[in-house]
Amino acid sequence: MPQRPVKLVLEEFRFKVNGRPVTVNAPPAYMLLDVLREQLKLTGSKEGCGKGECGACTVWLNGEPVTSCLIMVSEVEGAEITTIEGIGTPEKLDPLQEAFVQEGAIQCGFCTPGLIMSAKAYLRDNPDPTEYGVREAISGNLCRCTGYVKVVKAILKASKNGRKRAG
Amino acid sequence: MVLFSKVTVHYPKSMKDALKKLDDMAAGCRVIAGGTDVLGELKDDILPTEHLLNINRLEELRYIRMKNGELRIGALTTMNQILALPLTQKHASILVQASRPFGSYQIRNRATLAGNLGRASPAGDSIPALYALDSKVILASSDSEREVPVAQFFKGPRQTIMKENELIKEVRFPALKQDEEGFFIKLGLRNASPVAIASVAAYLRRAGGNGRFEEARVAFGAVAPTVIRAPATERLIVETSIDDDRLAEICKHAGEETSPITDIRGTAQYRRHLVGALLYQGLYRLIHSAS
Repeated sequence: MPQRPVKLVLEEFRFKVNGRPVTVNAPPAYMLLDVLREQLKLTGSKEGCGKGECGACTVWLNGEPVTSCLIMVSEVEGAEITTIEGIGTPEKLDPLQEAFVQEGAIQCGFCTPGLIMSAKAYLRDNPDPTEYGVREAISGNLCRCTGYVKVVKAILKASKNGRKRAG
Repeated sequence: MVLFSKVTVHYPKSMKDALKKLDDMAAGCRVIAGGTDVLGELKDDILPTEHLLNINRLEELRYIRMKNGELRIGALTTMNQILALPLTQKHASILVQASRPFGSYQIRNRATLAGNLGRASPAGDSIPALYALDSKVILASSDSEREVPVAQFFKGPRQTIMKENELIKEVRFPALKQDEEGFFIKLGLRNASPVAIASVAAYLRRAGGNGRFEEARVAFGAVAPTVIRAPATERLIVETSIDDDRLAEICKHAGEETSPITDIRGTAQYRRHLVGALLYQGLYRLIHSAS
């Protein structure tokens, strides 16, 4: 630990989070995950490993799932970030979130936000998902509780639900 | 741990700008593209730095093109782009197969081909595929450009022939034609973000349809200080026509061309055996498939 206060070099970064513009002052090499959680108070994204291997920190960068523990805040200048807080609302869950709840695909819940971000992008890009495709899509999201069976079932169910809702 | 609050991140506006900054800063900085390797290492105090030269915004280096039957991939093309784009799917199946189990979907959205090369891990997944494809690496500095065959690019773990002021600009290789095929297989300890215990990439050109091959290029990963070709195995493959018995015989000896280490992912003995098993899997499927 440093003995004296560290003089921080702060820069200003502007980007969008869940559709809303934000301005953040941070050292350019601070991780996006830390900025989201500590400055923007969006604590839905979690730090599981800090190395991009567990997927608990998964957010969308310009619509694409990335591990935010390995993205520097300076890199997202001008970009659009989507976090779990931007998916559905407490009053009206996204069909995918609803499927997770209905199928019992959540135990401790720590991996769930990351899983939702990965799965939602997969379903968006793959209107006819397969079990293999789902498993491949979420292979970057580790879950220590569920064994993935109900997670996979929920994701496949959501794709049918989504289609039903869309009419 | 690197104090990220003290790290300066430089964002050059063009390749030319980046190369000039590299001339000025050289050993005092680390080049970063997708960051999936570099940032993890900084968190672990591996090769710490206080200056990052972030080239990830140089879209001029992100492309897949075909020119004169040669596929040219820009240095910053991501692994997901290699997986998804039609040109690579059609003409670079071996590299596409190497991209599929690479990291995870999230990692592949950031990880670049040049990053995989520059990190020069003996287990780097794109590398055996690039060996099998007989690739060339284009390096640029502020006053020159040069072409290096991929098999000459690596000197050892983390060591390449790159000069301090060079950047990888492009990777190129002959587009695979109808009668050319190949595969990439690796074994890791899990299905995502697995570092290869061993990997095998092969390029084969059939000579007619009776189990005979005109040319074979076989590369092994994670079983030597760098990715290696396997010339003895290649000779055995083209020597006679291959049936299942002959295939088993060839693969039994494949490990003799390797010099693996024992580490947390496996023993040297296991790796020597594993390359033969992976080669067998890949060749068996290829030989028994329709085309």
